[in-house]
Amino acid sequence: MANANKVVINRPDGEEVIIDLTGDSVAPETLGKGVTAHDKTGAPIVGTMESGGGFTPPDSEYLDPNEVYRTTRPSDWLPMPTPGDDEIYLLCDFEHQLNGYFAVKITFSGTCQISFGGLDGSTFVAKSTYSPQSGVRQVYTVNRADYIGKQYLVRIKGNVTAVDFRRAKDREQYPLIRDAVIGIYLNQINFGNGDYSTREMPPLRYIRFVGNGGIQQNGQAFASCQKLLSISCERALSLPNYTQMFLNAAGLLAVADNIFQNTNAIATNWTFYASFAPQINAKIKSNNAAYCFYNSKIAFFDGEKFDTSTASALNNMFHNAGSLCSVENLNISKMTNCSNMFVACYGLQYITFAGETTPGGYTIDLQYATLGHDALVNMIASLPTATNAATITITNNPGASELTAAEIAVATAKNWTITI
Amino acid sequence: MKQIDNVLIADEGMTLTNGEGFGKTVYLASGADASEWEEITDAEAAERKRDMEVAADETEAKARAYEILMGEG
Repeated sequence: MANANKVVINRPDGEEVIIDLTGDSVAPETLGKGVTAHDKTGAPIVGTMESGGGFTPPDSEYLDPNEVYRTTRPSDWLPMPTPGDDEIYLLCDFEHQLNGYFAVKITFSGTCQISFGGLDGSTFVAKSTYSPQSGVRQVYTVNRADYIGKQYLVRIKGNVTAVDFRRAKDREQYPLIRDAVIGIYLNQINFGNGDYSTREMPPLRYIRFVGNGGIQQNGQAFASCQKLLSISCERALSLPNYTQMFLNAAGLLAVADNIFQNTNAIATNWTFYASFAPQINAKIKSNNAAYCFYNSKIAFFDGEKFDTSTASALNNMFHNAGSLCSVENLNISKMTNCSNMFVACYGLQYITFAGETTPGGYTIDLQYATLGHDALVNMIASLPTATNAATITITNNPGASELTAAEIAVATAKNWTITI
Repeated sequence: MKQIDNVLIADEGMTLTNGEGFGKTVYLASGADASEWEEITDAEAAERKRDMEVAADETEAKARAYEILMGEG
Protein backbone atom coordinates (compact mmCIF):
# COMPACT_ATOMS: atom_id res chain seq x y z
CA MET A 1 0.00 0.00 0.00
CA ALA A 2 1.34 3.41 -0.88
CA ASN A 3 2.16 5.77 1.97
CA ALA A 4 -0.53 8.34 2.73
CA ASN A 5 0.38 11.69 4.19
CA LYS A 6 -2.89 13.58 3.81
CA VAL A 7 -6.50 12.54 4.21
CA VAL A 8 -9.20 14.76 2.75
CA ILE A 9 -12.92 14.06 2.71
CA ASN A 10 -15.02 15.62 0.00
CA ARG A 11 -18.25 16.84 1.54
CA PRO A 12 -21.14 18.53 -0.17
CA ASP A 13 -20.13 21.83 1.38
CA GLY A 14 -16.44 21.47 0.55
CA GLU A 15 -13.27 19.54 1.51
CA GLU A 16 -12.48 18.60 5.09
CA VAL A 17 -8.85 17.82 5.93
CA ILE A 18 -8.86 14.96 8.44
CA ILE A 19 -5.09 14.52 8.70
CA ASP A 20 -2.15 16.31 7.11
CA LEU A 21 1.45 15.22 7.62
CA THR A 22 2.96 17.19 4.78
CA GLY A 23 4.23 19.99 6.99
CA ASP A 24 5.60 17.72 9.76
CA SER A 25 9.31 17.78 10.57
CA VAL A 26 9.66 14.54 12.52
CA ALA A 27 12.71 12.48 11.51
CA PRO A 28 14.40 9.34 12.93
CA GLU A 29 17.35 11.31 14.31
CA THR A 30 15.11 13.63 16.32
CA LEU A 31 12.76 10.92 17.58
CA GLY A 32 13.52 8.92 20.76
CA LYS A 33 15.14 5.57 20.09
CA GLY A 34 12.57 2.84 19.30
CA VAL A 35 9.65 5.25 19.05
CA THR A 36 7.57 4.80 15.90
CA ALA A 37 5.89 7.52 13.81
CA HIS A 38 5.25 8.62 10.23
CA ASP A 39 7.25 11.31 8.50
CA LYS A 40 5.91 14.04 6.21
CA THR A 41 5.70 11.60 3.28
CA GLY A 42 3.63 9.20 5.37
CA ALA A 43 6.43 6.63 5.53
CA PRO A 44 6.76 4.74 8.86
CA ILE A 45 9.94 5.65 10.75
CA VAL A 46 11.63 4.42 13.94
CA GLY A 47 13.44 6.89 16.17
CA THR A 48 17.20 6.58 16.60
CA MET A 49 17.97 9.39 19.06
CA GLU A 50 19.61 8.01 22.23
CA SER A 51 18.36 10.65 24.66
CA GLY A 52 16.25 13.73 24.88
CA GLY A 53 18.99 15.70 23.21
CA GLY A 54 22.03 17.50 24.55
CA PHE A 55 24.47 15.93 26.94
CA THR A 56 24.20 12.25 27.82
CA PRO A 57 25.85 11.27 31.11
CA PRO A 58 28.03 8.19 30.66
CA ASP A 59 27.54 4.97 32.58
CA SER A 60 29.92 4.89 35.49
CA GLU A 61 32.33 2.07 36.09
CA TYR A 62 32.74 0.59 39.56
CA LEU A 63 36.23 -0.45 40.55
CA ASP A 64 36.44 -3.51 42.79
CA PRO A 65 38.83 -2.77 45.68
CA ASN A 66 39.86 -6.44 45.82
CA GLU A 67 40.82 -6.28 42.15
CA VAL A 68 42.74 -3.05 42.73
CA TYR A 69 44.58 -4.77 45.61
CA ARG A 70 45.36 -7.86 43.55
CA THR A 71 46.59 -6.02 40.49
CA THR A 72 48.50 -3.12 42.02
CA ARG A 73 50.18 -4.55 45.14
CA PRO A 74 53.94 -4.77 44.46
CA SER A 75 55.09 -8.38 44.04
CA ASP A 76 58.19 -7.85 46.19
CA TRP A 77 56.17 -6.96 49.29
CA LEU A 78 55.83 -9.54 52.07
CA PRO A 79 52.53 -11.46 51.86
CA MET A 80 49.97 -10.71 54.57
CA PRO A 81 48.84 -13.37 57.06
CA THR A 82 45.11 -13.93 57.46
CA PRO A 83 43.98 -12.42 60.79
CA GLY A 84 41.66 -14.02 63.31
CA ASP A 85 38.76 -11.97 64.64
CA ASP A 86 41.01 -10.59 67.42
CA GLU A 87 43.94 -9.68 65.18
CA ILE A 88 45.26 -6.88 63.00
CA TYR A 89 48.29 -7.28 60.74
CA LEU A 90 50.27 -4.36 59.35
CA LEU A 91 53.08 -4.41 56.79
CA CYS A 92 55.74 -1.74 57.38
CA ASP A 93 58.90 -0.59 55.64
CA PHE A 94 62.19 0.03 57.32
CA GLU A 95 63.49 3.42 56.37
CA HIS A 96 66.81 2.69 54.60
CA GLN A 97 69.08 0.86 57.04
CA LEU A 98 67.51 2.45 60.12
CA ASN A 99 65.64 0.69 62.88
CA GLY A 100 61.88 0.63 62.55
CA TYR A 101 59.84 3.26 64.37
CA PHE A 102 56.32 2.29 65.32
CA ALA A 103 53.98 4.53 67.32
CA VAL A 104 50.40 3.58 68.12
CA LYS A 105 47.68 4.12 70.69
CA ILE A 106 45.69 0.94 71.31
CA THR A 107 42.53 0.92 73.38
CA PHE A 108 41.43 -2.47 74.65
CA SER A 109 39.83 -4.39 77.50
CA GLY A 110 41.48 -7.39 79.11
CA THR A 111 44.84 -8.23 77.62
CA CYS A 112 46.52 -7.15 74.39
CA GLN A 113 49.84 -7.87 72.75
CA ILE A 114 51.73 -6.11 69.98
CA SER A 115 54.34 -8.22 68.17
CA PHE A 116 56.92 -7.42 65.50
CA GLY A 117 58.26 -10.13 63.22
CA GLY A 118 58.30 -11.83 59.85
CA LEU A 119 56.92 -14.86 58.07
CA ASP A 120 57.66 -18.56 58.09
CA GLY A 121 55.83 -19.63 54.93
CA SER A 122 52.50 -17.87 55.45
CA THR A 123 52.64 -17.99 59.26
CA PHE A 124 53.55 -14.94 61.31
CA VAL A 125 56.60 -15.45 63.52
CA ALA A 126 57.16 -12.90 66.29
CA LYS A 127 60.67 -11.66 67.00
CA SER A 128 59.60 -9.30 69.79
CA THR A 129 56.35 -8.96 71.75
CA TYR A 130 55.11 -6.23 74.11
CA SER A 131 52.07 -5.63 76.34
CA PRO A 132 50.83 -2.11 75.67
CA GLN A 133 48.94 0.14 78.07
CA SER A 134 45.35 0.74 77.00
CA GLY A 135 44.64 4.21 75.68
CA VAL A 136 48.26 5.32 75.88
CA ARG A 137 50.29 6.22 72.85
CA GLN A 138 53.51 4.20 72.87
CA VAL A 139 56.54 4.09 70.59
CA TYR A 140 58.30 0.83 69.75
CA THR A 141 61.68 0.35 68.09
CA VAL A 142 62.10 -2.55 65.65
CA ASN A 143 65.71 -3.69 65.41
CA ARG A 144 66.75 -3.61 61.76
CA ALA A 145 69.56 -6.12 62.35
CA ASP A 146 67.01 -8.84 63.23
CA TYR A 147 65.44 -8.72 59.74
CA ILE A 148 66.67 -9.80 56.30
CA GLY A 149 64.35 -7.91 53.99
CA LYS A 150 63.30 -4.28 53.86
CA GLN A 151 59.96 -4.88 55.55
CA TYR A 152 58.54 -6.16 58.84
CA LEU A 153 55.11 -7.26 60.05
CA VAL A 154 53.18 -6.03 63.07
CA ARG A 155 50.47 -8.05 64.80
CA ILE A 156 48.06 -6.47 67.28
CA LYS A 157 46.09 -9.12 69.14
CA GLY A 158 43.45 -8.83 71.85
CA ASN A 159 40.04 -7.44 72.70
CA VAL A 160 40.83 -4.17 70.94
CA THR A 161 38.26 -1.39 70.52
CA ALA A 162 40.33 1.37 68.88
CA VAL A 163 43.68 1.89 67.21
CA ASP A 164 45.18 5.28 66.42
CA PHE A 165 48.25 5.62 64.21
CA ARG A 166 48.21 9.41 63.93
CA ARG A 167 51.24 11.48 64.74
CA ALA A 168 51.20 13.15 68.14
CA LYS A 169 52.66 16.37 66.85
CA ASP A 170 54.08 18.07 63.81
CA ARG A 171 57.45 16.82 62.49
CA GLU A 172 57.24 13.61 64.48
CA GLN A 173 58.08 10.40 62.66
CA TYR A 174 55.25 8.13 61.61
CA PRO A 175 55.35 4.37 61.07
CA LEU A 176 55.79 3.43 57.40
CA ILE A 177 52.64 1.29 57.21
CA ARG A 178 51.97 0.07 53.65
CA ASP A 179 49.26 -2.53 54.02
CA ALA A 180 46.70 -3.18 56.77
CA VAL A 181 44.44 -6.21 57.18
CA ILE A 182 41.98 -6.08 60.05
CA GLY A 183 39.97 -8.94 61.54
CA ILE A 184 38.60 -7.04 64.56
CA TYR A 185 35.28 -5.23 64.63
CA LEU A 186 36.67 -1.95 65.98
CA ASN A 187 34.80 0.92 67.47
CA GLN A 188 37.19 3.37 65.87
CA ILE A 189 40.31 3.51 63.73
CA ASN A 190 42.44 6.50 62.84
CA PHE A 191 45.03 6.62 60.13
CA GLY A 192 44.67 10.37 59.69
CA ASN A 193 42.53 13.35 60.56
CA GLY A 194 42.65 15.60 57.57
CA ASP A 195 45.40 17.91 58.67
CA TYR A 196 47.83 16.68 56.06
CA SER A 197 50.69 18.87 57.14
CA THR A 198 50.96 17.26 60.55
CA ARG A 199 48.80 14.21 61.13
CA GLU A 200 48.75 12.16 57.96
CA MET A 201 49.68 8.55 57.22
CA PRO A 202 51.23 9.08 53.79
CA PRO A 203 52.67 5.65 52.93
CA LEU A 204 49.50 3.59 53.47
CA ARG A 205 48.26 1.99 50.21
CA TYR A 206 45.72 -0.66 51.19
CA ILE A 207 43.22 -1.36 53.97
CA ARG A 208 41.27 -4.59 54.09
CA PHE A 209 38.62 -5.48 56.65
CA VAL A 210 38.23 -9.28 56.55
CA GLY A 211 35.89 -11.71 58.27
CA ASN A 212 34.32 -9.94 61.22
CA GLY A 213 36.61 -6.93 60.75
CA GLY A 214 35.14 -3.46 60.43
CA ILE A 215 34.54 -0.14 62.14
CA GLN A 216 31.45 1.04 63.98
CA GLN A 217 31.91 4.79 63.74
CA ASN A 218 34.18 7.66 62.89
CA GLY A 219 34.80 10.29 60.37
CA GLN A 220 38.30 11.21 59.30
CA ALA A 221 39.36 7.56 59.53
CA PHE A 222 41.28 7.68 56.27
CA ALA A 223 41.68 11.43 55.89
CA SER A 224 44.95 12.57 54.35
CA CYS A 225 46.05 9.04 53.44
CA GLN A 226 47.26 10.48 50.20
CA LYS A 227 48.63 7.25 48.71
CA LEU A 228 45.67 5.10 49.74
CA LEU A 229 44.41 3.15 46.72
CA SER A 230 41.73 0.81 47.99
CA ILE A 231 39.58 -0.11 50.99
CA SER A 232 37.85 -3.48 50.96
CA CYS A 233 35.39 -4.82 53.50
CA GLU A 234 33.71 -8.22 53.66
CA ARG A 235 30.95 -7.38 56.17
CA ALA A 236 28.36 -4.65 55.80
CA LEU A 237 29.06 -1.69 58.06
CA SER A 238 26.57 0.70 59.58
CA LEU A 239 28.62 3.84 59.94
CA PRO A 240 26.63 6.83 61.17
CA ASN A 241 29.29 9.36 60.27
CA TYR A 242 31.29 9.86 57.10
CA THR A 243 32.45 13.35 58.00
CA GLN A 244 35.79 14.03 56.35
CA MET A 245 36.34 10.29 56.10
CA PHE A 246 38.24 10.65 52.84
CA LEU A 247 39.35 14.27 53.13
CA ASN A 248 42.53 14.78 51.11
CA ALA A 249 42.72 11.08 50.17
CA ALA A 250 43.29 12.19 46.63
CA GLY A 251 44.55 8.92 45.22
CA LEU A 252 41.73 6.68 46.36
CA LEU A 253 40.52 4.47 43.52
CA ALA A 254 38.13 1.98 45.05
CA VAL A 255 36.06 1.69 48.21
CA ALA A 256 33.95 -1.34 49.11
CA ASP A 257 30.19 -0.89 48.88
CA ASN A 258 29.89 -2.57 52.28
CA ILE A 259 31.28 0.58 53.90
CA PHE A 260 28.18 2.52 52.86
CA GLN A 261 25.21 0.63 54.22
CA ASN A 262 23.86 3.14 56.71
CA THR A 263 20.69 4.86 55.60
CA ASN A 264 20.89 7.92 57.79
CA ALA A 265 24.49 9.03 57.61
CA ILE A 266 26.11 12.42 57.85
CA ALA A 267 28.29 12.58 54.78
CA THR A 268 30.05 15.88 54.80
CA ASN A 269 33.30 16.95 53.34
CA TRP A 270 34.50 14.21 51.05
CA THR A 271 36.77 16.83 49.62
CA PHE A 272 39.57 15.88 47.29
CA TYR A 273 38.10 12.43 46.84
CA ALA A 274 38.85 11.56 43.25
CA SER A 275 35.70 11.01 41.19
CA PHE A 276 33.86 9.53 44.12
CA ALA A 277 30.34 9.06 42.88
CA PRO A 278 30.86 7.05 39.69
CA GLN A 279 32.83 4.40 41.52
CA ILE A 280 30.35 3.50 44.21
CA ASN A 281 27.55 1.04 43.60
CA ALA A 282 26.02 1.42 47.04
CA LYS A 283 23.36 3.95 47.83
CA ILE A 284 24.46 6.62 50.28
CA LYS A 285 22.04 8.79 52.16
CA SER A 286 23.30 12.08 53.47
CA ASN A 287 21.61 14.32 56.04
CA ASN A 288 24.19 17.02 55.49
CA ALA A 289 25.80 17.32 52.09
CA ALA A 290 27.56 20.62 52.70
CA TYR A 291 31.10 20.68 51.27
CA CYS A 292 30.75 17.05 50.20
CA PHE A 293 32.57 17.54 46.92
CA TYR A 294 34.32 20.82 47.64
CA ASN A 295 37.49 21.05 45.55
CA SER A 296 36.98 17.45 44.45
CA LYS A 297 37.68 15.91 41.06
CA ILE A 298 34.16 14.59 40.74
CA ALA A 299 32.96 14.54 37.13
CA PHE A 300 29.54 12.85 37.31
CA PHE A 301 27.11 12.99 40.21
CA ASP A 302 24.26 10.51 40.35
CA GLY A 303 21.49 11.39 42.80
CA GLU A 304 20.14 7.85 42.56
CA LYS A 305 23.29 6.74 44.39
CA PHE A 306 23.91 9.73 46.61
CA ASP A 307 20.56 10.46 48.19
CA THR A 308 20.09 13.99 49.55
CA SER A 309 16.33 13.76 50.07
CA THR A 310 16.73 14.43 53.82
CA ALA A 311 19.54 17.00 53.57
CA SER A 312 18.82 20.66 54.27
CA ALA A 313 22.40 21.93 53.90
CA LEU A 314 23.82 21.58 50.41
CA ASN A 315 25.90 24.74 50.58
CA ASN A 316 29.30 24.54 48.90
CA MET A 317 28.48 20.99 47.83
CA PHE A 318 30.29 21.29 44.47
CA HIS A 319 32.24 24.47 45.22
CA ASN A 320 35.29 24.58 42.95
CA ALA A 321 34.66 21.09 41.53
CA GLY A 322 36.18 22.11 38.22
CA SER A 323 35.79 18.68 36.57
CA LEU A 324 32.06 18.46 37.22
CA CYS A 325 30.13 18.05 33.98
CA SER A 326 26.94 16.21 34.96
CA VAL A 327 24.59 16.27 37.96
CA GLU A 328 21.60 13.93 37.71
CA ASN A 329 18.56 13.83 40.00
CA LEU A 330 19.98 15.97 42.79
CA ASN A 331 17.24 15.80 45.42
CA ILE A 332 16.48 19.23 46.87
CA SER A 333 13.19 18.43 48.59
CA LYS A 334 14.50 19.50 52.03
CA MET A 335 17.14 21.99 50.89
CA THR A 336 17.21 25.34 52.69
CA ASN A 337 20.85 26.34 52.16
CA CYS A 338 22.48 26.23 48.73
CA SER A 339 24.89 29.12 49.00
CA ASN A 340 28.02 28.75 46.86
CA MET A 341 26.83 25.35 45.75
CA PHE A 342 28.18 25.54 42.19
CA VAL A 343 30.91 28.18 42.44
CA ALA A 344 33.41 27.75 39.58
CA CYS A 345 31.62 24.72 38.09
CA TYR A 346 32.36 26.12 34.64
CA GLY A 347 32.22 22.73 32.89
CA LEU A 348 28.74 21.75 34.05
CA GLN A 349 26.81 20.65 30.96
CA TYR A 350 23.87 18.81 32.43
CA ILE A 351 21.85 19.09 35.62
CA THR A 352 18.50 17.75 36.76
CA PHE A 353 16.85 17.95 40.15
CA ALA A 354 14.57 15.55 42.03
CA GLY A 355 11.80 15.92 44.59
CA GLU A 356 8.11 16.80 44.38
CA THR A 357 8.46 20.05 46.34
CA THR A 358 11.25 22.15 47.84
CA PRO A 359 11.07 24.73 50.65
CA GLY A 360 12.44 27.54 48.43
CA GLY A 361 13.44 30.94 49.73
CA TYR A 362 16.93 30.57 48.26
CA THR A 363 18.88 31.22 45.05
CA ILE A 364 20.67 28.48 43.12
CA ASP A 365 23.50 30.15 41.27
CA LEU A 366 24.45 28.41 38.01
CA GLN A 367 25.95 31.38 36.23
CA TYR A 368 28.93 30.73 33.95
CA ALA A 369 28.16 26.99 33.64
CA THR A 370 28.05 25.35 30.19
CA LEU A 371 24.35 24.54 30.00
CA GLY A 372 22.94 24.51 26.49
CA HIS A 373 19.33 25.08 25.51
CA ASP A 374 18.25 21.42 25.75
CA ALA A 375 20.02 20.97 29.08
CA LEU A 376 18.24 24.03 30.47
CA VAL A 377 14.86 22.76 29.26
CA ASN A 378 15.54 19.41 30.98
CA MET A 379 16.63 21.21 34.13
CA ILE A 380 13.50 23.38 34.21
CA ALA A 381 11.30 20.32 33.67
CA SER A 382 12.93 18.63 36.66
CA LEU A 383 12.51 21.52 39.13
CA PRO A 384 10.29 20.65 42.10
CA THR A 385 7.50 23.04 43.00
CA ALA A 386 8.86 25.64 45.42
CA THR A 387 6.73 26.23 48.54
CA ASN A 388 8.25 29.71 48.89
CA ALA A 389 9.51 31.47 45.79
CA ALA A 390 12.98 30.27 44.77
CA THR A 391 15.40 31.73 42.26
CA ILE A 392 17.77 30.07 39.81
CA THR A 393 20.42 32.12 38.03
CA ILE A 394 21.54 30.91 34.60
CA THR A 395 23.27 34.06 33.46
CA ASN A 396 26.07 33.48 30.94
CA ASN A 397 25.11 29.93 30.04
CA PRO A 398 25.24 29.28 26.30
CA GLY A 399 21.60 28.17 26.05
CA ALA A 400 20.05 30.80 28.33
CA SER A 401 19.23 33.29 25.61
CA GLU A 402 17.58 30.58 23.49
CA LEU A 403 14.91 29.75 26.06
CA THR A 404 11.43 30.69 24.94
CA ALA A 405 8.85 32.38 27.14
CA ALA A 406 6.84 29.15 27.16
CA GLU A 407 9.86 27.15 28.33
CA ILE A 408 10.56 29.64 31.12
CA ALA A 409 6.91 29.67 32.11
CA VAL A 410 7.27 26.00 33.12
CA ALA A 411 9.60 27.21 35.88
CA THR A 412 7.67 30.31 36.97
CA ALA A 413 4.51 28.22 37.29
CA LYS A 414 6.38 26.08 39.84
CA ASN A 415 7.27 29.23 41.79
CA TRP A 416 10.79 29.61 40.41
CA THR A 417 12.19 32.96 39.33
CA ILE A 418 14.63 32.58 36.42
CA THR A 419 17.47 35.09 36.10
CA ILE A 420 19.15 35.39 32.72
CA MET B 1 14.24 48.89 34.87
CA LYS B 2 11.16 47.90 32.93
CA GLN B 3 8.52 45.42 34.02
CA ILE B 4 6.35 43.66 31.45
CA ASP B 5 3.94 41.30 33.18
CA ASN B 6 6.20 39.05 35.26
CA VAL B 7 9.42 39.99 33.44
CA LEU B 8 11.92 42.53 34.79
CA ILE B 9 14.39 43.93 32.26
CA ALA B 10 17.47 45.92 33.30
CA ASP B 11 18.30 49.17 31.55
CA GLU B 12 21.47 49.50 29.45
CA GLY B 13 24.60 49.22 31.65
CA MET B 14 22.54 48.02 34.63
CA THR B 15 22.09 44.64 36.36
CA LEU B 16 19.20 43.29 38.41
CA THR B 17 19.89 41.62 41.75
CA ASN B 18 18.04 40.25 44.76
CA GLY B 19 21.27 40.14 46.75
CA GLU B 20 22.11 36.60 45.72
CA GLY B 21 21.37 36.32 42.00
CA PHE B 22 22.42 38.72 39.25
CA GLY B 23 21.06 39.07 35.74
CA LYS B 24 19.79 41.31 32.97
CA THR B 25 16.36 39.71 32.66
CA VAL B 26 14.34 38.24 35.51
CA TYR B 27 11.29 36.04 34.94
CA LEU B 28 9.45 36.23 38.24
CA ALA B 29 7.95 33.16 39.84
CA SER B 30 4.23 33.09 40.30
CA GLY B 31 4.66 33.80 44.04
CA ALA B 32 7.70 36.12 43.79
CA ASP B 33 7.82 39.71 44.95
CA ALA B 34 9.20 42.11 42.31
CA SER B 35 10.19 44.59 45.01
CA GLU B 36 12.95 42.21 46.16
CA TRP B 37 14.83 43.06 42.95
CA GLU B 38 16.84 46.22 42.57
CA GLU B 39 18.79 47.67 39.69
CA ILE B 40 22.48 48.44 40.15
CA THR B 41 25.24 49.36 37.70
CA ASP B 42 27.23 46.61 36.01
CA ALA B 43 30.35 47.82 37.81
CA GLU B 44 28.67 47.61 41.20
CA ALA B 45 27.31 44.17 40.34
CA ALA B 46 30.83 42.95 39.53
CA GLU B 47 32.09 44.37 42.83
CA ARG B 48 29.30 42.71 44.84
CA LYS B 49 30.00 39.36 43.17
CA ARG B 50 33.68 39.64 44.07
CA ASP B 51 32.74 40.44 47.67
CA MET B 52 30.46 37.38 47.79
CA GLU B 53 33.25 35.13 46.51
CA VAL B 54 35.67 36.47 49.12
CA ALA B 55 33.07 35.98 51.85
CA ALA B 56 32.48 32.40 50.64
CA ASP B 57 36.19 31.63 50.78
CA GLU B 58 36.49 33.08 54.29
CA THR B 59 33.46 31.12 55.49
CA GLU B 60 34.90 27.96 54.02
CA ALA B 61 38.31 28.55 55.60
CA LYS B 62 36.69 29.06 59.01
CA ALA B 63 34.59 25.92 58.58
CA ARG B 64 37.63 23.85 57.65
CA ALA B 65 39.66 25.22 60.56
CA TYR B 66 36.82 24.41 62.96
CA GLU B 67 36.38 20.89 61.64
CA ILE B 68 40.09 20.17 61.84
CA LEU B 69 40.12 21.52 65.40
CA MET B 70 37.17 19.30 66.33
CA GLY B 71 38.94 16.34 64.78
CA GLU B 72 42.01 16.64 67.01
CA GLY B 73 42.03 13.74 69.35
